[in-house]
Order: sequence, then structure tokens, then C-alpha cells
Amino acid sequence: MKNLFQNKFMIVLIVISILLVGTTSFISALGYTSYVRNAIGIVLTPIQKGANYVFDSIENIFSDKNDYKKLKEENENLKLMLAEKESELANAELTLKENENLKDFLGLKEEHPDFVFADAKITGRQSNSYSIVYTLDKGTYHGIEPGMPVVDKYGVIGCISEVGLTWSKATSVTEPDFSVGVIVERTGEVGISSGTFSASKDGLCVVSYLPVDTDIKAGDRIITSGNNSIYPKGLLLGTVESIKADPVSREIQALVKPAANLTETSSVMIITDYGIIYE
Amino acid sequence: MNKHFNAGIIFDILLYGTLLILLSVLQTTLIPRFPIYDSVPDIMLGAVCCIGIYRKEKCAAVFGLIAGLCSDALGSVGLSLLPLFYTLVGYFSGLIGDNAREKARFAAFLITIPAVSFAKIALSFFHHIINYYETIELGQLFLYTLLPEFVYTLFLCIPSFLLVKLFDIPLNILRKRGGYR
Repeated sequence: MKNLFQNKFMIVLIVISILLVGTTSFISALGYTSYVRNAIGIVLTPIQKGANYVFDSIENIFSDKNDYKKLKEENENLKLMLAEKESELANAELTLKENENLKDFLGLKEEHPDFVFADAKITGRQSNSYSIVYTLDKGTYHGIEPGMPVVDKYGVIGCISEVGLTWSKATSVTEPDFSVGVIVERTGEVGISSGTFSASKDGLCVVSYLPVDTDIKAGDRIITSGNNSIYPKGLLLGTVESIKADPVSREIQALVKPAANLTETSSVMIITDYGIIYE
Repeated sequence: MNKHFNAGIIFDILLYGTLLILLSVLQTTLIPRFPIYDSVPDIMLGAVCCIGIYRKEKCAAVFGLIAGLCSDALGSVGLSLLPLFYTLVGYFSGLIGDNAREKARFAAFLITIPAVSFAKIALSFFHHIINYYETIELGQLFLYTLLPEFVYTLFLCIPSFLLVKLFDIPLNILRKRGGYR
């Protein structure tokens, strides 16, 4: 058997791959995108987008055959109606401006005229089992920058974690990398939402740093606080599914089911700019 | 360097380039639609291994390097060791292929695949540790993530193998006509 370390070609190739891995990871850690990754993304994202469209269409054909599509649409409409009602309730409680539909892009635009949106299509999803990452078809060319919030018609999806010229990647709210300041809408208590291993497996995120005497209950709505955050105030993150005490610190934590449809959504909105309201 | 050799190299690059794009796109668009316990298999692994066993180790290593970069660019963020991992998988699969007789190569592939899948699971474990070091639950991780990923990757290595062999048909024809390796 040939010795790996006597094979010059392989040594060169391994050195190249180590350099690529190292530089890409280092550049990524600094919040930038490497030229290699960017170039590959520019070439492959349109193909990925096309393939995604084809698979979506095929999925829809099968859905049609089983009358599943109709049920899906009806379900979607019902979800929208429910979202609309929940939005109205949220606004009344927060004595904010009138809002038709927080979970609908149009409604969101009307409610927040200060928000600047960029719509984007999800062209691909994670290629591994250890993180939920969406590839979007908008990049620096469209004014997208790392850290920008990503929402769908139901609520917060995550934030932009990496940007190329014509593509970007969004990390979901259930990921450990993601954290955002939140408010329990009913009680006004503040906390920080982020992902953990076990919660993310169930599609949930965790709200920590709640007050010791917190009155939080299952069903409470969690919205973004807007304090020192990349997120504007008042975006729906999700609803509390259960409460638990941290086994080590005994701190109260709330498991939150994200309002956004993290698994099936195909189009999202990126909030590229918003006015900051000082209170 | 003769005309046949050039034609062969260009044809190789075109075909394997197409295969690479096809696999990368499938990996990030079709495969995530069918997860098992949130586990996504790796279809690239079977292809790299197959190329290594049936072609030269250098060809597989280069294919592996570019495959890793494509997988990275399309579907992951932050630290990724895939380019290095696939390069090594390609190289070692090539060595196994070199030492196996022509008729025993499929058997060599079947034996190699569990080993490289296991190595991939180890890499996945490493990523989990990095990503979730504070909240990792090992039992849950093995049972609901790594084990399904291992089995699913093994299962999808066969379609990957068939796809590579499909792309090999025109190459073999050209090789017979043009007389290049």
C-alpha cells in the first residue's frame, strides 16, 4: 500500500484542503464569506433554485392527486385566519397601532411602514443533520447583510448568518447560535430566547433568564423585545409550550414553539432596515 | 500529451463536474425533504467512495475536495471539515480499489462504505459537540441523530453508486475508443 506521506500529489491536495477548511472557517467566524464559497454559491444557487422548483412542482402534483393540496390550502387559510386574530389580540394588549395581519407579509408591511423588506425564496435546506440552515436566493447584491432578521407570514424564522453575492444563509431560531431578547406578551417579563440540543430536536427554542417569580404559563405568546437586538420590537416568536426548571441552576425556562413554519415554508421576508423607537 | 489524452481529461472533468453538481443539488434540495428523525444522509459519500474504488485515488481525492467545497457552499455555515474529509475518503477508497481485483471491487465498495459512513458519523458527532457543547444529550444524539444518519447514509450509498456507474458508461465507451485511462 502506498504511503500517504510519500505521495506528493496527495500531500499537496491535503494541504490545499486544510488551507481551504481553515481559511473558510476563519473568514466565516469573522462574519464574512470566503471567495471560494461565494463563487461556488453564485454558480450553484440558480441550479439549486431550479431543482427546488422542480421538486416543489412534483410534490404539488402528488398532493393534487390525493386531494391533499386542497386540504393543505384550507389548513393554510385557517392558519392565516388564526394568525390574523392572534395578531389583533397582540396589538390590543400592547396598545400598538392597528394591525391587520402580523403573520402575513402584507399585513406586516402595513403595520410597520418603517420596515424595509426584501422577499426571498428558500432554494435549499441543510445538507447535514447538525444544524437547520436555509439557503436563500438573495445576497449582498440585493442589499442583504449578516444579522438581518428573517421572518415569514407567521413569525420570526431566524437571521442571516452568511451572505454571498447572490445567495445567503439563514440560521433558524432553534439553533444554539441564535439568541434574541424577548418579552412575554401577557406579563411583560423579559428573557432571552435561544436554541438547545434537545429543544431543537423537537423544533422548539428555549426562553431563559426569566425572573425567579415569573408568572409565565403554557400558551403565552413570546414577542421580540427590540432591546439592543437586531430584531425590531413586537415580532411574534412563538407560544410557550411548557415550563421547566434548569436541572443545574434551577432557573425557570420556557420551551417555545416557533410561530414560523420552519419545515415547510418556501418564501421568506428579510427585514433589511427598520426605524428604532426610543422609549 | 496527445489529442486522445486531452479529450479524455476534458470529458472526465465535464462528466464528473456534472455529477458533482447533480449530487450537490440533490443533497440540498431533494434529500432534506425526506429526513428520518431530522437526520439527513450524505449521498456524496457513496459517490466519492465509488469513484475511489473504480478509478484512481487521485481522481477520487480531487473529486472529494471539490465535493466538500460544494456541499459546504450550498448547505452549511461556519466550520466544516467536509473538503478534507472527502479528500481522505477518496484517497483511501482509491487505495482499497487498487488492492482489490477487478471483479471484487463491488465487494470492496460494500465493505468500505460502512467504514467511511462510520467516519462521517464521527465527524457529525464532532460537529454536534461543537454546536451543542452546553446542552448535548449523548443518548438522544446517538439514538435519534447519529444512528438514523448512519443507516440512511448506508442505504443511499447504493443509488449514489448506481449514479456514478451511470456516468461511467460514456467514459468507458470513450476510453475503449480513444485508448486512454
